[in-house]
Formats: sequence, C-alpha cells, structure tokens
Amino acid sequence: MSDHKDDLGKHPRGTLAVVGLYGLLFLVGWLAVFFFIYLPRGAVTR
Amino acid sequence: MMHNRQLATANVGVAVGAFGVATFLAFMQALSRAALDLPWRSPKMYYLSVTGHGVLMALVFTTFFIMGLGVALTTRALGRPLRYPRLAWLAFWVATVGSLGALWAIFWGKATVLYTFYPPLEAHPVFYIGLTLLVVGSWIWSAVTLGTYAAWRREHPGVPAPLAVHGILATIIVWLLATIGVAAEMLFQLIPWSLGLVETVDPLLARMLFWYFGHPLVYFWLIPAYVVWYTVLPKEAGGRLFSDPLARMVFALFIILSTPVGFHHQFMDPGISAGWKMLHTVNTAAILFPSLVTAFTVTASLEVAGRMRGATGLWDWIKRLPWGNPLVSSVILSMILFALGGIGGAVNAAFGMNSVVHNTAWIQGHFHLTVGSAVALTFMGGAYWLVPKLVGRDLELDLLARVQPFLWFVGMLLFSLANHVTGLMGMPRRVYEVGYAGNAITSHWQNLTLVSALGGVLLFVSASFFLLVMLGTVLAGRRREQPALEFAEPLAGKPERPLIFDRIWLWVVVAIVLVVIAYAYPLASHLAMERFGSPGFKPF
Ligand SMILES: [Cu+2]
Repeated sequence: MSDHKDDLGKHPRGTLAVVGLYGLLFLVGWLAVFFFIYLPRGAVTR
Repeated sequence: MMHNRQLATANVGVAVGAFGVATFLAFMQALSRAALDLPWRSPKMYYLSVTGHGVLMALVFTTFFIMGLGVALTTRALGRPLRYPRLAWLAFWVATVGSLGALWAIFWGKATVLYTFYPPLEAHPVFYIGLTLLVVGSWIWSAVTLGTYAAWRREHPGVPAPLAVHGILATIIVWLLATIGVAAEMLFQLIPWSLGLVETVDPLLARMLFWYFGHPLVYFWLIPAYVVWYTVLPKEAGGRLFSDPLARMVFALFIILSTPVGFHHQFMDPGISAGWKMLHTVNTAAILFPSLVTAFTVTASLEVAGRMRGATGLWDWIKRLPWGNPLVSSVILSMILFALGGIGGAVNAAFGMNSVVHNTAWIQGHFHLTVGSAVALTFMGGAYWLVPKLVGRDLELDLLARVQPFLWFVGMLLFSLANHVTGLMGMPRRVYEVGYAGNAITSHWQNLTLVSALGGVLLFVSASFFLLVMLGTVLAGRRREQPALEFAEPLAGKPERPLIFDRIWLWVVVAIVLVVIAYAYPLASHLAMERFGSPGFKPF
C-alpha cells in the first residue's frame, strides 16, 4: 500500500479519462436530440 | 458513539415501510402500462396507484430517510446527542400522522391527483392537510438539527463544521427556503378550497408555487445522497476524499442555486413571459456545475481508493474497488445512472427542446434515473451500511444485498431507456391507456412498453431483495457490536480554519437575493392581473 502512496498526490488520470469520456457522451447525446429530433420537427427559431 | 439511535431507527423504519408499499404499486403500474391484463385494472385504480407510488416514494420515503440519516450523521459527526430529543420525536410523530392521513385519502380513492397535486384536480382535504403535516414534521426536525448545531458551535468556536454536518445544514436551508412555496400553496389555496371555503382556485399560481418548491425538493433529496457519496463512500471503498473544499463549495452552490430555477418545469405554461423563463434556464444551466464537480470529486476519491489498493494503470483502479460491498456498489451504480440522467436533464432544461419531451414518457424515464436511482439506490446502499449500526446486528442475507444494486441497475436501464425512447415517439406520461384504442401509430411504442415492464419486474425483484435484507437484519441479524460510524478522511487532511464556503449565513443571504430576483416580479405581475379561478374536478 505504501509503495503507491506517492501516486496519490498526482493528477487523477483515470478520473480525468472517465470524466472526459462522459463529457463526450453528454455532448453527443444532447446534440443528437437537437439535430435529429428537435430541428426536423420544426423548431421554434424566433 | 452514535446518539439518538432509536429515533434514527424509527425514521428509517417508516422510510423502508413506505418504500415497500410503493414498490408494489410500481410493479402493478409497469404491467398496466404494458396493457397486460391485471385483476381490477381500471383508470381509477391506475391513477390511485400512481398517486400512491409518487407520494410514498418521493415524499414519504425520502423525507423519513433523510431525517433518520440526518440524526445519525449529525449526532455522530458532532459527537453530541440532539439538543431537544422530545421535539425530535414530535417531528417524527407529526410527520407520521400526516403521512398516514394522506395515504388514507389516497387508498380510499379520494385523492387521484398524482404526487404533484395540480389543481384544478381536487383531493379530499385530509390529503392536503396530511402532506402539510409531513412538511411541518420535517420543519421541526430541521429546527432540532439547527439547535443541536448551534449548541455545538458555541462549544467549538472558529472550527469548520464537519463536512457531513455542512452538507446536512445545506439540505435544511434548501428545504426551509423551498417549503415556503408549498406551504403558501397549501394554506392559501388548496386547503381552503378543498374545504369548500372558497369556490375556485388559480391553477397557474398553484403551479408557480409548487415548482418554486418542486425543484429545490430535488436537491433536498440529492444533497443527503451527496453527503453519503462524499463522506461515507471513500471510506467504505478504502480510500480518501479527494478534496474537502470542493465538497464544501458544492454544498454552498446548492444553497444559492437550488431555488431560482422552478420555471424550467413550466416552459409550456402560459402566463409567464419568455424572458423570465430564460433567466430560470440560465440558472438551471449553472446548477449543473456543482453536480459535475461532484462527479469529478467522487470519482477521483474512488481512484484514490483503487490506487491505495495497489492499482497503477489508467483503468485498473476500477477493478480494485470493493464491488462486493453493497454500499460501494449501490453508490457507484447510482452515480452511473445519474450521469445518464444528466444528459436527458440537459434536454429537459433547454428552453426550446423541452417541447420535444414535455409531458411524455421521457419525463418518468428521466426522474427515475435521478430520484429513482441517484437518490433511492444511494439510500438503499446507505441503509445496508447504517441499519446494522443502528440496531446492533449483522447485515442478514448479505448475498441478496450484494446482488440487489446490480439488479436495480439493469432493471432501471431497461425501464428508463424504454421510457426515453417511447417519450421521443410521443407516448404521453400519466395516461392510463396509451394504446388509444388500437391506433396504428401507437403500435410502435406498445412493444417498447414491454421492455419497460420487464425493467419494472427486475426493479421489483431488486426492491424485494432490499426489503428482505432489511427485515432479516432487524429480526434475525446476529446481535453484535458493529463497527462505529466513520467518515472519510480528506486526502490533504481536514481544513483547520473555516473557508468562505463555511460562511453559511452569507450563502443564505445570496440565496434569498437570487430567489427575489427570480420570482418577485413574475409573481407580483401575476397577482396584479385579473385572475379567473377554476372550480375543482374529481374525475373519480
Ligand atoms: Cu427541476
């Protein structure tokens, strides 16, 4: 356990990877609803 | 040691009981939506059941669990018993009697108004009075907790409150601010109207007051769940809390941002101008931020846990987490479901796009990921961790407890995804007969309601496992001294001096200012208009 203690002070690389992937999924999901469902149905644009 | 155990046990006990009844109702509804032939399937039965499920889960289960958890966490973290124990019991009994009253009205078919009780749908007065008493009980609990904190504060000047207490205080402030709205709706509109003292009711005013309360209600549920994520999960996972100040910042942000956002539930309502809806939209986008910070901090705490267990690569810390610990698996799975819910939530919260999902099955798909998973699954995990400590017995049937979170996860994915998709197809929510007497368009979503029903069956099995574990633990668990309730240590050590986020009063003032900005003008201009009330409607 103590061998890895030094690791703890570093940036949480794994977390940044997870959060980055989630951000990507978030964008893709939201934009998919926007472009493929909302706009084709005739969005209110003004 | 933990103080006021019996009180915490009583509160958690009512919560679990409410959960059990609500679970059964949910099971019947899931089958009914799929148009499966059930005995006594009828519109009245359906609306009665949906009302019962919503009230029991969203209002009774959550409130009592939060009160029980709050008692256990604050007395342990502050190292002192509650200041006014008799008042705390009074809170429990007032809330219990109120809940029983509301349930009487529901199950006797006198309150088929759903858990949002929008007028002009009208219920028996006992329904409204009962729910008001539930809130009054929670106010007394709030006062007791604040009084206990004040006593501790006098004994410990100049030190920051323990993080768990900081979170519970944020919960209480959000709740006290929020319940002003629903109390006004009950006292000035619904109770006098249901008693026949006035003839008509203003539905839009009621909706404004309800959603003034309804969104922060979500944070009243969620902040205690976050307290578990921040202060319990890292410890149980064998690690440390990644950052204590970030957690305090999140709680402070919830105090100021929870309330001035209610119009995002009223995008389709007439009578509120677009500019004010837009302001609430911007505030809603802001409130995503503390949840994103939470996702980061809690995940980082888990990574710390994995690395302390010897992980080295980019991903293997995930495998090293103690997935067999039901608190750990419950919370992590609830976070994943919540993360998915966040994506849908950003669709709901977008002023224009909201029209695509408004009043469709998408909405119930969404909030079962938030309150039905982030909150409910965390609370179930919390119960596996807390109840043995409360009753001094080992967790019984622990194999079921280990399987249960995963079953919930799979069941909820099926249920929720099916509802998101059918919602986008146009399937309405809160409608008994979604087949429209065999209309061809509805055949597409009719098949998917079977997927949702399958999810419902898995959720029912999962919930039954939870109930069996709870019953088994309380009745048959081996009596033994349980490990003490312990909180996670922050990676960088505990803060010695208070931070700006600890200046609760400052945040209360900011919160009030934001609420006034967001609501004073729309409310005043609505009240200044010539208003026409509606008579009540009782469809059944
Ligand atoms: Cu909301």
